[in-house]
Formats: sequence, structure tokens, C-alpha cells
Amino acid sequence: MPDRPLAPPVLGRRAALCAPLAGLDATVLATGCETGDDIAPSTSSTSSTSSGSPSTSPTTADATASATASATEDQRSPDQVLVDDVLAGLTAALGVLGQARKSREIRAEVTPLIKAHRRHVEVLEGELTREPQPGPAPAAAVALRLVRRQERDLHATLVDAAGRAESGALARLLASMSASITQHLSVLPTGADS
Amino acid sequence: MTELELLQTTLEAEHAAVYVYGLLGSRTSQAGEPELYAALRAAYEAHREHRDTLIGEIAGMDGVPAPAASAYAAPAGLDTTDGRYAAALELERACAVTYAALVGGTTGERRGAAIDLLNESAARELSFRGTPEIFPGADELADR
Repeated sequence: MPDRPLAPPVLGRRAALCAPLAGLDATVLATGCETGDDIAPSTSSTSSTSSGSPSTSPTTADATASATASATEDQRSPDQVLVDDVLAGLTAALGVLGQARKSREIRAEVTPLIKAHRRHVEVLEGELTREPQPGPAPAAAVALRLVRRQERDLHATLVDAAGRAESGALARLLASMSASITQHLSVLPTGADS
Repeated sequence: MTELELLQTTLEAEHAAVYVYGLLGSRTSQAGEPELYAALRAAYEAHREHRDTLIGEIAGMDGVPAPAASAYAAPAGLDTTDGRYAAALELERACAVTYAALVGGTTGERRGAAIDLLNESAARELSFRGTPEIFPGADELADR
């Protein structure tokens, strides 16, 4: 049912990667961005969930949040910089996907990518925004073309970041995310003129 | 694990993949199941090439490439088309997990090659009725 809003992300899961990605603190805060999508109503929660899924240890989550908040531009490690770049790419991709999702013809096709990227953001401990997308629904073919281009860019960013990451766990994660895009792009319709 | 050990583990996975894909291909009719046959053949050839590359790479590190096992357990369900698709998908997913581990344990050009392997494997999964995943090769992250 493409019109049905998707469940909001479960931000409490974010500490799942705390151990393998120790020291990895995403600092991108997507505040004020206009690239959210329209899948779910606007929320700003970072600790609650309506899914009923078990939340992670507040202690762990708080420690992560605290570390994130204390990280300044100058203190960012090379891996943090990589994560920030990836999160910026994910935010941009979600913006394009959110716009594309307005087109009913391709809503069902782009929704899995939106879900995947939201999960990617969660695991990287970024923050999701869901501000409504301005403007009318684009033509499906145009939207698909933009999605493909954006996803290819994001894939390149992920492959590059995976290759440069100092942390092996981060490299593995980013490479896996790139492989996810490879899969999603393979099944995305090409569109008549895309 | 050292890079050499990870490469050996990956080589062992390639040996198994070559064997199982060969077995699956031998049970598949080229005329009756052309799509599956073509996918199996492509996968077989890809993994055989990766195997040979790894053997050369390990030898170049003064290692002794791990030999193929004398026997491998045949996957279940080989008697039906659906079973062969499922076996191939399971095998490819296992390879993706191995490649992802290789990414995490290597650096430089070797890691770059591992990233390529992971992406290729993820794409190959789709030819065996796989569906896009959120974290190919890192399943433990998908359901959290």
C-alpha cells in the first residue's frame, strides 16, 4: 500500500553499532534541511518509538549522544569526516527520493530505497528529518532519472569512503551500504526516457 | 585475523562456491531452465576467476593457497528448480558475508577489490531470485 505512511525509524536501535564502530560518532545533524521525505509525519524524537521494538540501553545511547555533541569540527577524526560526508549524501538522496515518491506511478518502486537509506542513516547515528517536500509531483520518468543519478553518486561516495576508512568495521558497513544501492538500482525501473 | 588468513578464508569460500555452482549447473537443464542455467554458469565462471586470482595473490604473499576440500556437502533441494534457486541464493549470500569480512580486514587496493567483490556478489544474488537487502553481507545489521 504505497499511500500508507511507513513506520517511523526506531532511533533507539542506533546503539547497535556502538561496539563495532566504537569511536565513530556521526556529527551531521540534518537540522533545517529541506530534503526530508513525506513518508511519515514530522517528528523530532530521538529516543521514543511507536514500533514497540525494544530500545537500547539508555546508558549506551546517552554516551553516544554525549560524545556526538561534544565532537567539534576540529576534533573530528578522519572516519567521522567520512561518516559526515556519507550522511550528507544520504540526506540528499532521501530528498530526491522523497520528491520522487510524490509521483504515484513510481511510489512503490522508490519506497524500498527510502526504507533502506533511513536504516543506513540510523546505523550511522545520523538524524532523520521529515519535513514536507515542497513543489508538485514530478513526472515519473524525470524523477527516476534523478533518483538513479543521485544513487550512483551516493554509491561512489560510499565506495570511496569504504576504501578510505581507518576502521575496518566502518569500511565493512559502508561497503555493505554500497552493495545495497547496487541491488536497489538493479531493480529500479529505468523509465522510458531515463 | 591477518590479511593472509582472510584471503585464505575467502579462497576456501571460492573453492566451495565453484564446487556447488558446478553441482547446481549439472542438475539444471540448459534448454528447460535457460535463465537459471545462464545465471549459474555466470556465477560459476566468476567464482572460478576469483579463486584463481586469490591463489595467485596468496602465493605472491609467500603463502600456501588453501586447497579445495576433498568433498563438500551438497545443498538440499537440488531436485527442483525452486530448490536450486534457493541453494544458489544461499550460497551467494554466504559469499557476500565472506567478502564483507574481507573488506573489514584489509586495506588499500586489496580492500578496494573486496568492495568490488561484495558489490558483484550482491548483484548476483538478484539473479537467483534475491531481493534488495539493506545490508548485503552484513545481515546482523538489517533487523535491528
